[in-house]
Amino acid sequence: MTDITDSARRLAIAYRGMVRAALANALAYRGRLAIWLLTSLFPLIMMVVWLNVVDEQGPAAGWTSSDFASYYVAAALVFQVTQSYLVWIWDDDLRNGTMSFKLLKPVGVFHQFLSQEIGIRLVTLAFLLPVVVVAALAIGDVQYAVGPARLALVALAILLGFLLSCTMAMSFALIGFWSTQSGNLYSLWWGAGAFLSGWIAPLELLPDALRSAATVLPFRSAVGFPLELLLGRLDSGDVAVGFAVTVGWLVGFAFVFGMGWRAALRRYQAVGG
Amino acid sequence: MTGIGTDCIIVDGLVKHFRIHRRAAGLGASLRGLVRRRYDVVRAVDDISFNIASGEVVGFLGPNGAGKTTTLKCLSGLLHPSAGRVRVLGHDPARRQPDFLGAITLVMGQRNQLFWDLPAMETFLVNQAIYRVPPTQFRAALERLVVLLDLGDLLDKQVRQLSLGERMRCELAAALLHEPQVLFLDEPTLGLDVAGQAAIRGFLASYANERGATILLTSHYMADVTALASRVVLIDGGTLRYDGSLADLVATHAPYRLVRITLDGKADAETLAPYGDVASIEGPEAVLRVPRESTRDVAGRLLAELPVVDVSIQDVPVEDIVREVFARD
Repeated sequence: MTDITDSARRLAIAYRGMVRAALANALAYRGRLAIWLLTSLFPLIMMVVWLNVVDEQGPAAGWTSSDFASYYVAAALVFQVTQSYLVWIWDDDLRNGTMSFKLLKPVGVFHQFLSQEIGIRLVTLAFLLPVVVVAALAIGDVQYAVGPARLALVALAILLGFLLSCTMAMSFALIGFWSTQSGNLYSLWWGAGAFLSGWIAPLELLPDALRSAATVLPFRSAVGFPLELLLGRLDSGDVAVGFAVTVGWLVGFAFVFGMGWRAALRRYQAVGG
Repeated sequence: MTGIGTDCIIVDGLVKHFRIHRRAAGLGASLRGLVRRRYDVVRAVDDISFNIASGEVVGFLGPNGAGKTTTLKCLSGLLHPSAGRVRVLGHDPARRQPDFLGAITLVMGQRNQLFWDLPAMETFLVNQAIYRVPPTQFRAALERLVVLLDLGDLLDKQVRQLSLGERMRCELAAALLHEPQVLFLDEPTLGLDVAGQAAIRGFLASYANERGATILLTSHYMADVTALASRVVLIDGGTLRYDGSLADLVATHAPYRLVRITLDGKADAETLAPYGDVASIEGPEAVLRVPRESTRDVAGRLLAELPVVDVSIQDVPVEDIVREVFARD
C-alpha cells in the first residue's frame, strides 16, 4: 500500500514538472496556437449552418435554434478538451529520434505523452474560452439548465472522454513501430468517427441505425455523450449506458496499448540516432 | 549487483541483428516494393563480450557502422539484444526499471533531448521532476554544472538560438543533473571546434574523477579517448578486435617511435636506410621508424654522422595505431 502511495506521489511530482513544461512549449509558437484555435472553432461554423436551416425551415427533428446554439457552443469547448494530437507527436518523435530520450526517462512514455497533451489542451482552452463566451453572448440564445450534480457528471464524462481519446490515439500510435502509416490510419479512423461522435451534427439527427451504432462505438464518449448529458437530453438509463460504454472502451484500449507497448519495445530499432 | 567483483557493466555474448528493408532506386523498384519486400539481416553486433568495473572510463572505438552505437543502445535499454546477456548495475537494461533508468544516462552527440523552442532551464526543471532530484541537490548540481560547463548566459536562451557547442554543453548538463553512476557517451564532442572539444573533455574528466562514475565513451576524436580513458575496446563489423589498456595497445601494435629529422641539404633514402625504416622523405626532411629501445642511440648517431639541423622523437599517433589494427584483418 505504501509502495502504491509512494509511486503515486512520485508520478504526481513528475506530472507537475512535465505539464509545466508542456504549457511553456504549447505557448512557444503563436502561429501554431492560432491554428489550434481556428480548428477548435469548427463547431461554431456548423452552428451557423444549422441556425440558418432552422431559420428557413423551422426546427429540425425537434431541435430549435436555442438547442443548436447551446449544443455547438459547448461542443467547441468539449471537443477542444477531448481531442488528441498524440498520434502525430508520437510519429514525429519516432522519426526524429526523440522517442529514444523519452524511453530513457524513469517515467512511463504514456505519462510523458499524456502530460504533453494536457499542456496543449489547457493552453488552447485558456485562449478558446473567452472567444466562445463572447460568441455565446453574441448569439444570445445559449442556455444550460443544469444543477451541480449533473454538472459533476458532465465533468466526469469529459475527463473520461479525454482519457479515452488519448488512450485510443496512443494505441494507434503504436502502429508507428511497425509502419510509417500510423498518422494516416488514425486520420481514417478519426474521419469515420467524426460523424458518429456528434462533432459534425447532434447524434439525435442521425438515422436510427447510425445512432444505435454511435451509442456503442467509442467516438461519442468524447463529444456527443457529455454534450447530451449537459443539455439534459438523456434519461438515467442512457447516462448509465454512456458511462459503461466509455469505461468499457477505455479499459479495452488501455489493454490494447499495454500489450502492444511490450511488443513495440521489442521491435524498437531506435532510428535517427 | 550481480557479476564478478565490482563489475558494473557485463556484456556476455551480445548479439543484435536488424532486419532491413532493401530496395533498389527508381519507380519500378518502388512499385515492386509495394507487392513484395526484400529484407536483409544486418548483424550490427555479433557476439561481443567485455566487463567494465565501477569507476572505470573506457574508450569504445571502431569505424562507422562497427556496432558501437548499437551496443550503447543495448546497454541503456533502448534495444533488446537478439542474443546474449547484458547487465548494468545488476539490472537487465531491456526491462527499463525506473531504478536503472535513474542511475544511467545516454548522451548522443548528434541528438538532443532539450526542448527546442524553450530555454534549456525548462528541460532541467522537467528532468528534476522526472528524476525526483530534491531541490537542494538540484541547486547544488546545477551550480556545479554551470561553473564547469560555463553555462552562465545560456540558461535562459532559447535552445534553437544556441551554437552547436553551447547546445552540447547544455545537453550534457541536462543528462547529468540527476548525477548518474553510469554514463554512455556516443560522440559527445561531434562537430565541435577544438576549444569546444577541450571544454567537454575537461568537464568529463573532472566529473569522472569527482563522482567515481563509470563511463563508456565513443568518439571519432582520439584526443577524447587518450584524455579520458586508460582502457580501450575496439570493435569492427560487430566483433571485438581489442580490449586492453591504451599503453599495451601502443606497445603491441607500435613497437617503434618516429624520429623526425631536418638535414642541411636534400635527404635521400639510401643514406638514411641504415638508421631505420624510412617512412617519408620530403626535401631536407625525413621521418624514420625506429624500434623503441634504440631510439636514443639512433638519434645520437644521426646527430654525429649526418649534417642534421633539427631532430625530434615522437610516439606514433594513436589514430594511426587504431587504423592499423582495423586495416590488419
